[in-house]
Amino acid sequence: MKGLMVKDLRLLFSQKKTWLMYIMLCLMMSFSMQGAFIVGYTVMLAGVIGISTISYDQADNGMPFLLTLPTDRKGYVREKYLLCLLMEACGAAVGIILCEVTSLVKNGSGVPADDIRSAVVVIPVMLILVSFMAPINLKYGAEKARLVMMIAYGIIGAITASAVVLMQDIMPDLGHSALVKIKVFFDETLGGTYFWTVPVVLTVLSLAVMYVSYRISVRIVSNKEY
Amino acid sequence: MVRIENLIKRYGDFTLDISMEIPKGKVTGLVGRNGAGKTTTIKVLLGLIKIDSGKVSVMGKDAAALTAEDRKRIGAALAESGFSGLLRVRDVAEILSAMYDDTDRESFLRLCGRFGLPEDKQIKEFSTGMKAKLRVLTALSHRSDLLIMDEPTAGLDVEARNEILDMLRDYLRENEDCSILISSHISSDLENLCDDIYLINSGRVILHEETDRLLDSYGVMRVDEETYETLDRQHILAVRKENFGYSCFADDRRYYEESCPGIVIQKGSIDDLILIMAGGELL
Repeated sequence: MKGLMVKDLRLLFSQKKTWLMYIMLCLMMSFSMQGAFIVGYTVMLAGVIGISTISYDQADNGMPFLLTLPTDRKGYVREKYLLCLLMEACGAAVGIILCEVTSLVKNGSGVPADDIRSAVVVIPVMLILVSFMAPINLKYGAEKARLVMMIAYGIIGAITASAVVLMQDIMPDLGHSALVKIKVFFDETLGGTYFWTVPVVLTVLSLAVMYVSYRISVRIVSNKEY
Repeated sequence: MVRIENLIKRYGDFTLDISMEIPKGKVTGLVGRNGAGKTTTIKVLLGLIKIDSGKVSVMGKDAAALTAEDRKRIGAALAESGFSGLLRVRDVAEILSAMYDDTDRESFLRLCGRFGLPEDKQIKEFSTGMKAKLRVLTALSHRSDLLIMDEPTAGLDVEARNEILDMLRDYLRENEDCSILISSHISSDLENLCDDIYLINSGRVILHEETDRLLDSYGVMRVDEETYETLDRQHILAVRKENFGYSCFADDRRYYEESCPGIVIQKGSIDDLILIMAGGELL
């Protein structure tokens, strides 16, 4: 697995122009956007970069050769998930450092912890997204996976929109009042003592989803012919 | 080292149905026309595809159950699959030294330099020959018990082919116990390298013979139709219809030299073997 990790990291860092573009984008975003928005952006970018290594492996029929190297199929999948976790952690660290530095430069003070907390919630969201993207990429390949993800987003969007419209028609006040109650619960009940409870609980839940996704991916890769 | 017993693998209309063995320390050639089933056989051995029935044992284990540790003892070069074109030779050296306990980064780089592979150029910018050389050098980068090479010289000019074959000969000299399976449709690659040869056609082994015996005892007769009609066919394995009459592939050249002195019979080559046995009619 160490060799595969070295391969992926070397593959990612071999693209200097792309990294230069990422750095420029992140700097522009961190200076132009308010609060800790950049943290969400770097976390999202890191997750997508991690997943993109699957398509590099599949390009030019590379998978058969990779599976002749000292690894088994489970080891290959494990390395991909570890790489994505590593990328997410680095993305979050870089995002937090960037937003703190730009806030100090722009305002002379650090970013409020509340903003950071809101932004850090993106980490579990991205972990869940990676958990969906990885098995689809491994099963269908990068090209088809893009189409599958677009269809999946469309279906999720349509279901959510329909549910909201339906809720508003049936019980016009419930949706709004429920959201207000949740916000009050988090702000007042958990607010001071359990400030980081929500991000931590969501991260643990997303890691559980990721584990299920890993098991599914192992099954997909084990059953696939290369 | 490798034993395939009654392997069946179906792909639509195509069925691979073979049994074969690669003994320890021997070089086995797998020849046949394009689409005969050579790559499918190699993929089965490497556990890349599943089989419908039969038994495939590699280094004493089921090919589908090879672990990462087992794979450290195998070197493989596949025809159209290798490291990503975005990587460079120096990246490959780092990856291999992280993967294999006995790969020395510096000697790999030295060897790549000797064969004209620049360290800092992306693989995607390499010529076909350079990519093939890198695939073979990658497979030879560590001490293996089993080397599996799928068409390592396909699409290369004579000079590049000879360089690759020299690499293999050097490796064999240093690793006498290593077993090698090499597939090719280029006869000269195998004649000086292999101990025995399997010829497969349409998914079946149609001949298995030691290379020395194949080259010494087998022969090809080119006869007109009239001679063919009266020819003793007990040692003829296959015939192929030609413009002048028939090409006959026989397993006992001396028998025909003695019994039919008027017929010109030449020593057999692997090219004849493929042309007549795979392209003609088996008797």
